[in-house]
Amino acid sequence: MTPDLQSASSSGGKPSRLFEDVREGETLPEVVMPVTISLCVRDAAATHDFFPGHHDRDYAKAQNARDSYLNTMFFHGFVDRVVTDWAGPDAWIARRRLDMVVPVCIGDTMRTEARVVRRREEHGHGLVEVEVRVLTERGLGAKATLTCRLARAGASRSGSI
Amino acid sequence: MSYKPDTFLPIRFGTYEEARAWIGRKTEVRPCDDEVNWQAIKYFCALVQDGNPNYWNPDEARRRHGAIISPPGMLMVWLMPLPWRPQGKVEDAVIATLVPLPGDTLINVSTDSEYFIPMKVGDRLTVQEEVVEVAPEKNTSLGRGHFITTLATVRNQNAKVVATNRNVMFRYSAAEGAGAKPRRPQ
Repeated sequence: MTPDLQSASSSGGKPSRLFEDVREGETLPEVVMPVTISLCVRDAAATHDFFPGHHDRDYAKAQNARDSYLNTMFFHGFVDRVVTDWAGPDAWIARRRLDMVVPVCIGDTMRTEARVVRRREEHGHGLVEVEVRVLTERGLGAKATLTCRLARAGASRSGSI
Repeated sequence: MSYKPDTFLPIRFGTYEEARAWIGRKTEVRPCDDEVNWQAIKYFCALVQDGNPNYWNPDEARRRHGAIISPPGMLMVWLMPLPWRPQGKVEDAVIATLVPLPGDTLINVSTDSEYFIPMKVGDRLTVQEEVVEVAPEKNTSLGRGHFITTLATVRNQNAKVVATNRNVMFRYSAAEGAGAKPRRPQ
């Protein structure tokens, strides 16, 4: 696509994706991340979530999980990042629905599959719905649908509301 | 084995009928422990490797939002209670843990979050939670238990609703899970 100079200047270099340039079915770049013990430690620390299932492997197994597993807030941040890495800093995440299908545990490697499932205009805003699937070697771990407001072509400034 | 794990937030025990009585109950408005702050934002972004300049670049964030903003994914982070405080541990901060049910453990299942205005560095957020639904007992691969739906409404210091979060948690007994040994007859 042609970079939009206006957005490029307002985002410090990286152009934000314009609503007009998005098509339904478009796929987003894959993100891969291994789930290590260290990642679980950083998860607990960064989300202030000290529920033992996220760091105590014996506790997690007693819960019938295979091992300690990532928490809800990790998936919020991770799927949001998948979308805004693609959409750029002018995008506003208005809604996110997240389903955690099975615990994503130490030893798993996460890989995302994301695509635009819907594109629509509402009250002059350009909205896209993006589905992000977080897969591991064992299949679907989590699934999210995000509704984002994107910058529009010709708008002098965008982003905040 | 004498080792006993720290439960972080203690859960309350009771019957499904007792749990149903909680539907519609609301918490008091609770101020969050920390104001929205850049240090916590950076640790969260480092966790998920999010380089969005709204979280890292003060000049650019100021141009767009007036200040560095919180990633939307940190909504529940700002609501997490401190694990200890001088006045004693806050044990009633998360309403889902107060709903009395038989299950001895829990796992979070799904969320539906809506974001209305940015959470900015310096914002002092408050939260009010409500129990929306407690479902009848279900069997899952983790165990047998109940799904609890709660709704959190988060406001800033100007009493504006910045976001809402609908959360579904599964309260269950792991000993009755699919992989568990059959229980002895009573």
